[in-house]
Amino acid sequence: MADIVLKDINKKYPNGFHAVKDFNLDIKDKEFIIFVGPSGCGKSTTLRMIAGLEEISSGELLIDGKLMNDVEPKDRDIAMVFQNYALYPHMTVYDNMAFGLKLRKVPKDEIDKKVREAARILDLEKLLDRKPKALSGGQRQRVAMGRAIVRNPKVFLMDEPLSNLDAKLRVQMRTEISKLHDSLGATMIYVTHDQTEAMTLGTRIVVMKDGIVQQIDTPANLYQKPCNLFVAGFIGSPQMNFLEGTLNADCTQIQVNGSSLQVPPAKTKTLADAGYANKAVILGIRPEDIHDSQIFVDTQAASVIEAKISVYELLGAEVYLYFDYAGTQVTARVDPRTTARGGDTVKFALDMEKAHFFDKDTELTIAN
Amino acid sequence: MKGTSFFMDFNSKKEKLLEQLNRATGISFEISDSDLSDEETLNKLKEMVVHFNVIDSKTGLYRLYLTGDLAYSDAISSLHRFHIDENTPRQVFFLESHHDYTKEAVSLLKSMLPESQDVVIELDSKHLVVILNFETAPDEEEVVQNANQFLDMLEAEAFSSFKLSYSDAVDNFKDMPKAYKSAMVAMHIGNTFLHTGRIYSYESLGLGRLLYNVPKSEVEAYLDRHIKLETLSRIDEETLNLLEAFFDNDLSLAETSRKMFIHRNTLIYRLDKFADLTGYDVRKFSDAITVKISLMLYNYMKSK
Repeated sequence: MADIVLKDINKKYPNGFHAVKDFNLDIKDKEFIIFVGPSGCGKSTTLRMIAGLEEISSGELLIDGKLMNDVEPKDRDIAMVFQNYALYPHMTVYDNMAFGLKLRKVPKDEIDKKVREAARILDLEKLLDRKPKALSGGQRQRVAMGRAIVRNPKVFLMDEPLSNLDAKLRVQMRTEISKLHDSLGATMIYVTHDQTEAMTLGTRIVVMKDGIVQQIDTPANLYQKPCNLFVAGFIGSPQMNFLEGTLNADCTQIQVNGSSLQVPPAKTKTLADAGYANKAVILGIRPEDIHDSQIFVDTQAASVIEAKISVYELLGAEVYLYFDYAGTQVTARVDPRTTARGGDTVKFALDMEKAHFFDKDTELTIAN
Repeated sequence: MKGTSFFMDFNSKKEKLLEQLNRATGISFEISDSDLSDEETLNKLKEMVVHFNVIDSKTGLYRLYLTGDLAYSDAISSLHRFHIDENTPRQVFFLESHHDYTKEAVSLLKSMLPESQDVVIELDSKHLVVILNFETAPDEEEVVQNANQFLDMLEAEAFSSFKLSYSDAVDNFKDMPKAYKSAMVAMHIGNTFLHTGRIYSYESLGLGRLLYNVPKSEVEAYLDRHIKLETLSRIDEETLNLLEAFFDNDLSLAETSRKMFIHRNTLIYRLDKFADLTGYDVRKFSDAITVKISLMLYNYMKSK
């Protein structure tokens, strides 16, 4: 398979729109890399530059050490899977998978070998003679994947391949793609705006915003150690809560909406060393780090806030409690056995060991 | 330069028509000493093409008809020959490739067509037209799905990158040139006003359709009066993206900050900074309209 290197890649359109700015990334052989970010962040554009469907304005793209900038897409040894796959209606599953190879004038016996091998991997062997209309949604999606596999490419590029599927099928196909990555041992680059897909599939994730890479890291690190406010807010669902507060002179306390919350010693040191004494900062706390149980409230007495619950949502295995605090809507993810309900005034303990602190102006992380 | 380009255009058109005549009649025609102008020569040749019934395929008929080289009255007589029903609902898609498209791209499109009456027309080295026939007029969702499938399949299977435009489906053969022309205009407008879009619907271009027809002098006068070109060029892309998102989310601070994953206060700070620079506060509806139009006209000027 393949190593991919993107060096200072930029995409600037003729009208001046700078879609991707100084993108740098080393992708190791067999990695599963995810590009994630909100719509318009440049993730698909970057993927399309790797595919050769968009010209690279500046920078270098190397696949296995070879410069690819001016190599035709068909000669890059890649295969693509997109959101809007279509199966040729009059062709059988076999012919649908073979069609791309026929277009490229691949010998018949070689096509046969590749199609049957892909069908085996995807468990489509018994369906090879069927027409698309006789297939289920999941089977059709697998045929679309099969068309990419028969090319036997060095790199798989996938742009939101599951976006058109319903929620159940999406979860199922997510697992299948993960298995496929393991069985093919291929380098895969996958674009999504769905952070759950990103977290569950990727060995590393590239978070992008406004054409700029925000952070490249493992799913766990992105969640636990976001480098800025954007990444902290983007990764995790429900998203991290952000509260504005002011640190005291020795950074041991933060004042938020009249409540004084104790800052743990390790974070105190980092904040003090960085010169944030008496300064306003943004406190980030994930919904699961806000507790309403009496034990937590009693043991974390130095970091308790009180608020009136506006909405109670039972999701089965957990409950979301929504309340307004310091002019911001806050979400707490609590145990379903909670007795709290909408309209109740409840004490919440914030697990400050898990709190994040961000610079108010630069939005960069000060302490995780 | 204009003269040279026209001359080349005339020659290539003339050669093409002569070739069609030759194919249909087996006679090799040549044009010697003619008193006719270039335009008259081409018209004469087109008449001969129709007269000799050169239209040798359904695709050829559609091509000549859509591009205005064949009048409705002449085309109608050939419909029966190619089993074309006059009153079938049809959708015309106009496709534009950044580079010259490949034979594979055309083969792939043809393979995707579900009905035998559907056609792919090769207009020139960068433009294709796809005509889809329907039993009942397709709804917008179906059209967009078809459009997306064409583009994604062209990229994934034929490694070819296209843009696509369309207008409303038509109910009869007569209206097809109008649909084709609207789709072509939609491509022009989309390329002018939208950065990275790949599918343009003529009916959804809204303000773009209106502004596209405003003379350049009027555009300059508008910008000069409201937000000068020089000021617009100083706005960073992050702010431009935020403004776009703010307009898309109906001027809602909460919704925009949520969708853009930024803190509400950051959004307010950026909008304040923009107001300081331009004098327009987009949180006010009237200012938002001025800014929206100015930004579109700015893109229009940049594309010129």
